[in-house]
Amino acid sequence: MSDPFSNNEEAVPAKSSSPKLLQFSVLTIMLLTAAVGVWVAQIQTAEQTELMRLEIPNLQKAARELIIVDPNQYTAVQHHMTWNDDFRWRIYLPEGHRYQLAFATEKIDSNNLVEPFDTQVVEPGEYELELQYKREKDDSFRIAVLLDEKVIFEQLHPAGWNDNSGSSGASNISDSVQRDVDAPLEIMRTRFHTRDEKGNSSSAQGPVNGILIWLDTVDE
Amino acid sequence: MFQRIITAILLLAIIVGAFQLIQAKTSQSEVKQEFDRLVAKVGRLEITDPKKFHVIPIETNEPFHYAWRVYMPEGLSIHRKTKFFSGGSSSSSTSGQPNESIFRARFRFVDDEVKVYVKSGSGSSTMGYTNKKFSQFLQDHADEMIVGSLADDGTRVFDTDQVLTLLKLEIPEHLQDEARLAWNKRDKRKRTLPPLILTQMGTQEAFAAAKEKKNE
Repeated sequence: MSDPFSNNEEAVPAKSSSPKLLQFSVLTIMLLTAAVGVWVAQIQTAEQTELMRLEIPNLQKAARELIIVDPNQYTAVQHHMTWNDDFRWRIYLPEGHRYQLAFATEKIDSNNLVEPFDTQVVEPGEYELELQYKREKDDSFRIAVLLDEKVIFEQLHPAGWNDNSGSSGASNISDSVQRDVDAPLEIMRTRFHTRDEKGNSSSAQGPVNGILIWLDTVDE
Repeated sequence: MFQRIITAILLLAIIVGAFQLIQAKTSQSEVKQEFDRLVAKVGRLEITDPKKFHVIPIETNEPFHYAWRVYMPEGLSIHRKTKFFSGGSSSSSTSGQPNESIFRARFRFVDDEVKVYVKSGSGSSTMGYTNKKFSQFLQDHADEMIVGSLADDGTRVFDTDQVLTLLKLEIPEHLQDEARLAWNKRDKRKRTLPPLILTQMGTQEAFAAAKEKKNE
């Protein structure tokens, strides 16, 4: 039987084991803190990324950017208008076809495509399209269509082409849209109003002057 | 032994977590780049209460050109009103779904004319004032005009019973005499000139209430 009052060193094991436990605890706490910290940071980063990812489509829409979901379809978006004659679009033409851009300024009815004034073959890709429409000092009109800042169509009309009676229709595209390449893609259709003998302006039923721009595939 | 296992597990958790964090940061960097580019272009409109107006300015980097993104709650009949010199324009529309629109006011100086293009939602109008002297006066003092533009700082939220003044462009006190001369405003009492442009939006009820309050 051991004597509880003796000075036996074996009786005080706590002194030697306590610092070891403390060292281990500090290390464990440090490692635990680091592990929690790194995982919390990872989760927060992933959450922030997801929030940004979810907001991007809204921002793209607000910024009027091309949103290409199906790369096999036409995609087009009209840039925000900063003036009443500011018509600019971003267009995407999918691989697998050749295309033509067509432009007409006369005999434009409400629905159909017409004999174009001019056409331009365009390869697949992304382009900036712009319509410039300017009334000159002598009341004549200069209409130009630009593709990536190069004039591809230009037409001059005398004053009577648009007698300033108003118009109906404009860009057929505003937010980013996708359309099947099987059918032509109308970019813009505007029809000028005409005046009757009493001087009243109205939208005519039949073909009238205006501006029509469209895209279609080219038969090989 | 048990402690060593715990240590090993924690070390493993740190290593795996760090690896995941690096991957998450890399992935975020690409998304953030696109996100920041778009935010720089159109601002970030944070909808905190879908029953209220939310407005944020868009940077145009052009003098006399102002634009905003505006969120409108559903089911409101929105009236838009612009006063420009002695003329003006107004339009109304009803928002079915909650919707977001771009509002824009842009000035141009063409020959002797001061022109303004105002776009509010799907409607737009262009107004002009022909006065060579005044057109020149405005161009000379473009930086000195007092611009009261809504939402100068981040997204601002407004109750739908308020009339929002998106833009109010005024001539400062020290230029009033010069402006009066250029504008050809003969006023012996030399009253302060009205704003060059005042663009407002709100519900019909809010406009009616504001008018009533003004008449009191």
